[in-house]
Amino acid sequence: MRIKSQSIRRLVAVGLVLALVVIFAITTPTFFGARNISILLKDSAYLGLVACGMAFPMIGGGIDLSVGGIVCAVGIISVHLSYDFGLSGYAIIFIATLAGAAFGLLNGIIVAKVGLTEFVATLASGFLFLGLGRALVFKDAGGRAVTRAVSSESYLSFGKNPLWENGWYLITFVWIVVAVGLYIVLKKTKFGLYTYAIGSNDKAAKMSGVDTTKIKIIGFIISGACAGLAAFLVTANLTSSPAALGDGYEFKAIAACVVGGIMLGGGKGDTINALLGALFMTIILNGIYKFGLDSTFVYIIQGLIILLATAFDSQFAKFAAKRRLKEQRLSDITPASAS
Amino acid sequence: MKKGKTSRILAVLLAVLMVGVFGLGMAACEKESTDADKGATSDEDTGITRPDSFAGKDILTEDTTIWYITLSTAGVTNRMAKLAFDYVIKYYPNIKLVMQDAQYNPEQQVTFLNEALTQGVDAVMIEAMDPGATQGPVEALEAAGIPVITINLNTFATHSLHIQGNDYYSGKEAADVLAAATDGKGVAVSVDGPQQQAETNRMCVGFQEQLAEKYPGIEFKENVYTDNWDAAVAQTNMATLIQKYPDITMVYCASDDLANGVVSAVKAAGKQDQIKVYGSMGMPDALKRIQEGTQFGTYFSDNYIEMSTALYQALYFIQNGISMKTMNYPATPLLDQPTTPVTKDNVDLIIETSHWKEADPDAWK
Repeated sequence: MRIKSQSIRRLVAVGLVLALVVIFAITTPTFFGARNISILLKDSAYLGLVACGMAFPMIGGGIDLSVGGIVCAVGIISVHLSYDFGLSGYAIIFIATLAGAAFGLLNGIIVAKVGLTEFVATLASGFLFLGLGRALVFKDAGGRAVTRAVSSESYLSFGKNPLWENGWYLITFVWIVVAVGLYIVLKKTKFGLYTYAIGSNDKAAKMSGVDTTKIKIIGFIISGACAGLAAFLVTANLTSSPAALGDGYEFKAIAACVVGGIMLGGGKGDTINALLGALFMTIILNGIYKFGLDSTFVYIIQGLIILLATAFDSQFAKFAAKRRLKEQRLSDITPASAS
Repeated sequence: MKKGKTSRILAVLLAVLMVGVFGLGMAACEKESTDADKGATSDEDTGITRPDSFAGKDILTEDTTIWYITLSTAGVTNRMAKLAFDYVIKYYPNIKLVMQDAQYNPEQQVTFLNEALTQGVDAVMIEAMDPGATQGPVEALEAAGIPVITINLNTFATHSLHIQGNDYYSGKEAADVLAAATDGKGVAVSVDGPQQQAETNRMCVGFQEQLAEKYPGIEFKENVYTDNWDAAVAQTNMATLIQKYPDITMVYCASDDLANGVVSAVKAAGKQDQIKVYGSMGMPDALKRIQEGTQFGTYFSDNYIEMSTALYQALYFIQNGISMKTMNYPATPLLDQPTTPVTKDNVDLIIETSHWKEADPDAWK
């Protein structure tokens, strides 16, 4: 029985999540409370959604550093749509996703059409979106920034209250549906296949007739749309749109993808990896708080996790390559000896 | 069996196991809440059981946990807070005080507030970075009988207590002091804190409104916001303001950290004799700059007293079972601290009488 390398990586991620669950369940009294589980899944959902979107540029061999800026801009736009125009939450969730997709399209055009590197292009556009968000912050007649709380029931139904007492939030279900939907897109469509092909070898994919420009643009659109959707859901939870919205989301999302098993070089992983990574990152923070550790440890532990995950992936890639080589040699030898 | 199929089955089994374990946990928790003691109110959200009668906790003998959720644990004001907290809790060996660092992130503060409720801590003190974002979690804490005390930065939620020492009236006071020093004439700007705190942090508003009301001879030009209370950002902001308005004669800063950046920009422009810089809080570096003459003034709000008062109030609330759940205040009770203007005339006295030398001994070497 042979297990695929990527499946082993998936099992490692599942194992890590389970191990954390067991450790914290044994060592902390409130970890397994219904409320804690529900909050934990809700907190995982924002990061998880952004990470699911981020998975597309990453699997395609790139990166999207603009998602934090998109969360900021779209989050503030969403609150304006509710507060100033009285739109319902159902309309805004749709508009927010579209707005995120539009920002993603801009990224895609800059990267795939203009030809700037993903790192620089999305870093710059991230600042652009962040600036746009800050410029749109609510202000009073004297030009001073003010906070406006969302009061629309349909808006808040997505994030403020659980669906049933001590139960899960709608956000969690949205996240799971999106992660599974995007998993199907990656695994069962030509677009998904081409994304893996570009991530494994961009030039070879291009020479095989894959429209790499189009595939990359669609990848960024999905990333932007997920960030836009997450932005709406974050503001539905916070009931407002702080100017600092989206701070650091890009790095947390990348970390979740890497920890979950999406390789930085591209060509490997899927949205279930991103989902597991986000869950792992949130559980570990939740556990740290329960241990009553100084919160400065959070950054140290997060840094260590990313470092270990990257080191593990690097070693794992070597191991997988050796295994492929060994299999290749075996298959070369077998027909010869048979004859 | 097809290659890879086994691994998929294994992954699915593990996922099912994980969901099952979560489900078991939830069921266990639900059972706990139905088993709550008779004659007591069980909060189903947290499982915390509190007596129906108006009674608190014996803080001398029972384990008590209080969280202080700061904007950031960096800086001398947090050393002062720790000094004040250590002084208060040394009489209570059962009290555990945990300082949580939100790193200027409102979402992180919300996570901490939710976690405080999950853990069922006894009281929360917080510098609320975003009044809107913290509203829901603070209301949930108060509804569960956990008193919340906001320090300097308020939340929209009605809660047990807000303590402030550096708000609207200190800005007005700064305008009075600067106007007195300039014969009510000149050109003013203000360097404010982060934009998202503008609604609850109204020092610069006080400054501007006092100038408009009482000092027609002083022309107010512009208020700029500073991300994360960062001195370097304040320096850049001030350099831009000097270029835009070369005739500036006074600057009001919403903190002494910001004043630090502003003083550097004023020095770089060679305008020390033209521009008077006034800060807020009376931090050690600012007091030293006032001694040296590079900063005109600040106001002193005794951070030590403020922090120890907040903690004493938290203990009082815990001891007597006071929260919105029991008190149902129509509005948040407010405790304003007096402020003292500091200039070269009284800076030495302030340094001697404050606790800064204990909190930040290196600053005075």
